[in-house]
Order: sequence, then structure tokens, then C-alpha cells
Amino acid sequence: MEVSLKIENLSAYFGEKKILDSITFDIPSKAITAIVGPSGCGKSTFVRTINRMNDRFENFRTSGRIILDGEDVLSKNYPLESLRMRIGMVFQRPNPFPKSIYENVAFGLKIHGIKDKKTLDESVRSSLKAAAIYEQVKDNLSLNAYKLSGGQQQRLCIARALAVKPEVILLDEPTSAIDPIATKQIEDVLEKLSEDYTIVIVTHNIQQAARIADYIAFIYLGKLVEFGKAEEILTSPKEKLTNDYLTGVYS
Amino acid sequence: MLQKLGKGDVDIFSPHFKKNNVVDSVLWSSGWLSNVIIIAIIFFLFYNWVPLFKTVSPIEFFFGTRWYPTVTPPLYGTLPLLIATIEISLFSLILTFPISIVVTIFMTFIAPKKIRYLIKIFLEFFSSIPSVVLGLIGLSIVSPYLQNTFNLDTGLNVFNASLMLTFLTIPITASMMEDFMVSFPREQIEGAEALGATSIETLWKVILPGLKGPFASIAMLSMGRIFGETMIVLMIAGNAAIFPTSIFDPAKPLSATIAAEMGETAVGTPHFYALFGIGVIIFFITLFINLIGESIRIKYEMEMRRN
Repeated sequence: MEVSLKIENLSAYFGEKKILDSITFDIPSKAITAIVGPSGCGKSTFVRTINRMNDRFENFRTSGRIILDGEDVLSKNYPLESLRMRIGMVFQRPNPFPKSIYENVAFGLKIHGIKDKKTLDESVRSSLKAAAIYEQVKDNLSLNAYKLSGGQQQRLCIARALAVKPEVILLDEPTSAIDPIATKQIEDVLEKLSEDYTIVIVTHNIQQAARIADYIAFIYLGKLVEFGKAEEILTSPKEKLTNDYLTGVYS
Repeated sequence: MLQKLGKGDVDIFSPHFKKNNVVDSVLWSSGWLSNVIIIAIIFFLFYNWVPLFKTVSPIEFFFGTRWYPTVTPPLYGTLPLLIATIEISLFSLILTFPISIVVTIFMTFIAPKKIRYLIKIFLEFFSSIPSVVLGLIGLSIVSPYLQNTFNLDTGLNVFNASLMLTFLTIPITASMMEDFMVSFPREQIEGAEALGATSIETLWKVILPGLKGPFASIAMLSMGRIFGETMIVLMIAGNAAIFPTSIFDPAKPLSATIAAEMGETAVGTPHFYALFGIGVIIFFITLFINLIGESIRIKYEMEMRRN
């Protein structure tokens, strides 16, 4: 398996509180890795540490390394802007900007200095197609994104993240605020995208992980309990904790 | 999750629940009382204004270009007063608005926490300065300075009044802006940052465009505040009922006219009625400005409420 991100001995703290405790594993390239675990176990903190989203909190700090292409992205010298171009993110609640569909998708490109109308048009179109929303909105790209349904908004957010051509896409419980049909659509999109992108998805839904994940990392109380191929984790977990979680002893 | 009622809890959905009639009626009547008071004020203003039209035509009152209530025959044209008010208010708003935005941005995005609190305390302190004190400063410091620097006939003019009104308004405007800036949806800020936007790009391309609605509404509310302010313009606008052609001309705004002349006017004279007429003009223009401000705000809130 080809490795996209190497997580090495990663710990994260909010103030004195240790949220992540010495996590080490490799996130495989061009596959879906699901991060599962009970609520409050640090799943979200984990993905938000990868693209340094938590840097905005003054009392947040990390130790350990996350290696992307031989460089430690947690290093203060690693420029945030280029990190976030390489590692995109989709959030729990759809968060389009109150702008047109077109402007939403073109946003990332524009702030990175791309002005050429043709390039923008082409990129907006291909991103919307990749997020399987193009057919529904192609005649009305100037529509305000707020007018879309929740599921459509979330796929628009995926398209927005794709437009800047990241290598990795992080998704933090992307379907938890969305109905089952829209969830299925997003899962289909993610499976398709995993042919070209490394996908890391946080989910509290084991069924979802079973449906789409190639690999599963199980985190409990900030520690990585088990990481491996999805079918192995789901059918024959090595750790008792994992087994208990899967069989619903705690949630 | 519904919680079970414990001992001593009151189930307000129970058919046996009795409303607290005292509280209910106090709230109900105080709500209605405020409406009644506003209607009474309007009635009172009109009651003391309408008799003016026995001696002065409405066209002369609204569009007359000369306000000379003490000459014979007296002239009650309010147009120069209205123009003076509009000129001072607009100029003051043009100063207040960008300064407030800069102060707000500095407070919420740039200043470290400690300095942010210092600025907040400073603004609170500033907003508690009585307008008469600002008037005194305008009168004793700004006015001579303007007169000497720009070689003017008088330092009591539109510019001076606008400047002092700006000092009066910035604390209110900036703190209204800060409320919106601080409560700007975090998801959107993170959405922009996750795409690699710097905080300045996020500010320019997401936050400020997203706050267009509230800021327009704040501009109107500040305008409403400036429009009716009396003490400063009474003291330092120059008190000359002419059409101000430049910002360094003296002027006599509507509110200052009432304050300056009411004391020396006999009840029941046309002059007395005309001053009430000015009150009506201020009342309705302020009402109108505030209504526009509120409707912009409501429209924005409807838009922000998703789906």
C-alpha cells in the first residue's frame, strides 16, 4: 500500500487536557480511511489536526509529526495556505458561503490568484461534476448556494474543496446533518473520488464505515486502538475494545 | 430528550397549569402602553402644528427657503434647516462609518486580547461622555483651531459639528458592528480557511461581504441617532439659518432650532406651532430611517436562516 500521510507519535492538547495520545499509523494513498470511535474520543480533533484547523485556538498544541511528501506539516515553517491547498476539508454541517454556486466553487481558486475566466469555468464545471451535483445546478450556477438542499450544499462543499486540487480530503462526519438519501449520494461520490484522492472520513456510524471504507482506524479516549483493512477490523478485530465497540457495548 | 418532571416542577403544557395572571397582564399592558405613548406623542405634535396653517401655507413651511421667525412678516421656511441637518448628518456618517469599521476590525482580528478589552473599555468610557462636553470641546478647542488654520470667519460650522457628532457616534456604531463581527458564523470562517485563505482574505472575501446587510442597517441606525442629536449642533453648528454651501459654512439644523427658540416663543403663536412642525419633520424622518435600518436587518436575518 502506498502511504499518503504518515502519522508519527501524534499527541494533541487543549490547554492541559490531552485529547490525542501518541497516535501512530500510515494513512494509505487513494483509499478511504474511516476514523471511528465513540463521541468525544478525539476523532474530530484528529482530522482537524491534520490540516491544522485547530491552530486558531490559542491553547491548542501538538507534539509528534504528520509527514506529507517527506515534510512535517505540523512544523511552524510549513505554510498553512499551501498545506490547505494540498489537504482539503469538508465539515460536519454544510457551510457554503452566501454567494452563488459558481462563486463558492471558484472561491479557492480565486484566492490563490487564478483569474482566467476559462480556467475558472472549466474547474468549476469539473469539480461540480466530480461531486455529482453538476447535472442539478448546471443551468443555474448563479443561484445562491443557500437555496440548495442540505445534501446539495454538502456536495457543493465537496466540489469547493476539490476545485483547489488537493491530494487529501478530510471529512468530519459529513453526513451527520443530512437525510439518508443524500447520505447515499455523498457516499457514492466519495467512493468514486477515492480512485484519485486520499480520503479520511470521520464517522460515528459503523454501517457507513462498513459501506465505504477501505481502512478503518478505531480511536478510543484519544488513543489509536486498532488500524487495518476495513473487512479485517469489522469481521475479526484483534482488540477486545474494538470488538466491544462494534458489538455496541458502548457508543 | 424529554425530562421527567420532578417534585416541585411545573408542567406548563398541562391543562391544569394556570397562567400567572399578574405577570401576564403587566407584560401585556406595558407592551400596549408603549404603543399608546407613541400615538399620543404623534397626536400631540400634530395638535400643536396644524394651527400653523391658518397663517402659513404648507408649501411655504416645507419648501420656503428662509427661516426668519422674528422679522415682520415672519418667514417660516424650514428647507435650509432640513438641508443643514442632512448635510451635517451625512458628513458625520461618512466619517463615522469607515472609522468604526477600522476600529471593529482592529478590535476583533488584530489586537491581542488584552488590548481588545482596553479598547472596549475605552469605547464604553467614550460613549458615556455627555454630548454637552463634546460640545464644549468643539466650542473651545476645535473651533478656534479651524478658524485659524483655514482662515475662516467662524470655526462654528458644519465641519466642526459633524466631527463632534462623529466622536459621539463611533462608540455606538463600532460596538454594534463588533457584535455582528464576533458572532459571524464560525463555520464560514473555517470554510474559507480550509481552502487556504489567509485571515485577511477571509475578512475581505467572506466576513465583510457577509456583513453587508447588518452594516447597512447599522449605518441607518447610526444616521437616525445622528439626525436627532441636538446639543452638539446647538452649540457648534453656528446657528445661522442659511443654506450651507460648503462644509465650512455655519448652519442651523432642525433640532437646534427647536432647542434655541422654544424658550423665547409665546405659546399659541405661529412661531410656536412652526417649532412643533419641525418636531414632526424630525420625528418622521428618524422613524423612516430606523424603519429602513430595521427592515434591512430583518431581511438579512431571513437570508441567513438556512433552508
